[in-house]
Amino acid sequence: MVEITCRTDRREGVTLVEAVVRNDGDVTRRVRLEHALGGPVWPPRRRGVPVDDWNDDAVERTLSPGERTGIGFASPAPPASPPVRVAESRRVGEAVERRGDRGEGAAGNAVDASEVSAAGDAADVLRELGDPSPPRDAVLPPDDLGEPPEAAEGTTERDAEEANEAREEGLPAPVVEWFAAVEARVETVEDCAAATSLPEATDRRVARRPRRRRRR
Amino acid sequence: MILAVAGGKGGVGKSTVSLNLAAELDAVAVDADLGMADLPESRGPDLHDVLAGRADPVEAVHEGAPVDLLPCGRTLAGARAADPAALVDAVDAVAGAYGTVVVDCPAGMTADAGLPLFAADRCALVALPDAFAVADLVRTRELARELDAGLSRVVLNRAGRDPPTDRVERALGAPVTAVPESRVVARAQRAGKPVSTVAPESTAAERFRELADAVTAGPKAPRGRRR
Repeated sequence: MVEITCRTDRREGVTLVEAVVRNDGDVTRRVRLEHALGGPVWPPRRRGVPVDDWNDDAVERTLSPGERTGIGFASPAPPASPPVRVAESRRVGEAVERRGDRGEGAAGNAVDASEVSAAGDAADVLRELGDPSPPRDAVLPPDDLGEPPEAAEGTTERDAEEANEAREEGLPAPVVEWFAAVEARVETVEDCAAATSLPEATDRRVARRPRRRRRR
Repeated sequence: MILAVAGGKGGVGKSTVSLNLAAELDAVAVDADLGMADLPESRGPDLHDVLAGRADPVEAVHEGAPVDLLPCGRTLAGARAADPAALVDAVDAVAGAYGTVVVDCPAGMTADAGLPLFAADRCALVALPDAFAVADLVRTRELARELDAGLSRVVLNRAGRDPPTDRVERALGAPVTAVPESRVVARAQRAGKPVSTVAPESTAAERFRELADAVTAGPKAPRGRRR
């Protein structure tokens, strides 16, 4: 038979679960342990990748007679009793037992040759050698990159204005109004810049206004 | 066949060897240096897009240049968005469509260098003929061995008049090809061209031809053994 002992600890909205499973019988057993918290499971990770004996919400281990093993995971779900249940427990032969040994042996943190050589898929390589992606802080958020991509590709002023208007949609109404007022003043100044006489300046503004209104 | 061109250090000429080998083998060169790509850039989807799931690996291969190339993006944001583990399937897909793939590995011993070796059937290691060559090569060979990419050739790049071929051969247990230091190789590489298209009669071009023959010789490694 398989005996399971659990302990849960709730800290800052996260439930931490520890469980020890012991094989009391006299045959080797393959056990599948499932969590019973009713929420997502956050399995232990090595270098950002879930450890390899976790599969979705369950972990599988092979236990020789008298052997015990510990598992631990976290979940945002509230504690339940029991937090872990034995979903499956079956007798296995020697061959399966050996195959199961690798997952249990991967507990240490040192990168050792035998572990890398046992790499079964790309995720194993990542677990052993570490995720090479640049850290998030090294990547500038799009706002800090200066020119918006539309402008960089040499699109028209109109596209840029439309992009601006689209961006304004997410802003509070007073801010949009203030932007519109500033924009109107800037346009007035731009329109008058080349004018040398009063009628010329007023004509240009009159000529341009309906277009602005149509676009709004 | 998937051949990884690896080497512990940066700046030893992995990209030069990759491009020239791909030209000789009529293979697709894949620039797997996700953070600091070296092979020529081109327009359209690149390896960052492929690894982020935005493009199909086979469709991202650019044909028509002197060498078929799966280029890599140059941005940190692209490198961050890319899933490095997806490289294995991407390289497999390109090999399925084109037959032979030469993967230009990044320097170092982390997963970005390990994953191309994991995807590859065999590897060629590149080093400069300096005092550190053997130590660098031995470390990279260990990584390649553990990831099942057998070492088929060692390249001593930018070799002088008397490269330590014998010493490296003894230490590594693999045959060594020395590619001489040559201005024409550097110039061709800057133009994104293999040296055989610029100076087919040069010693360097001849050495790359020998290298290509050497890495394709021997029993064909079984494919798809891990999946």
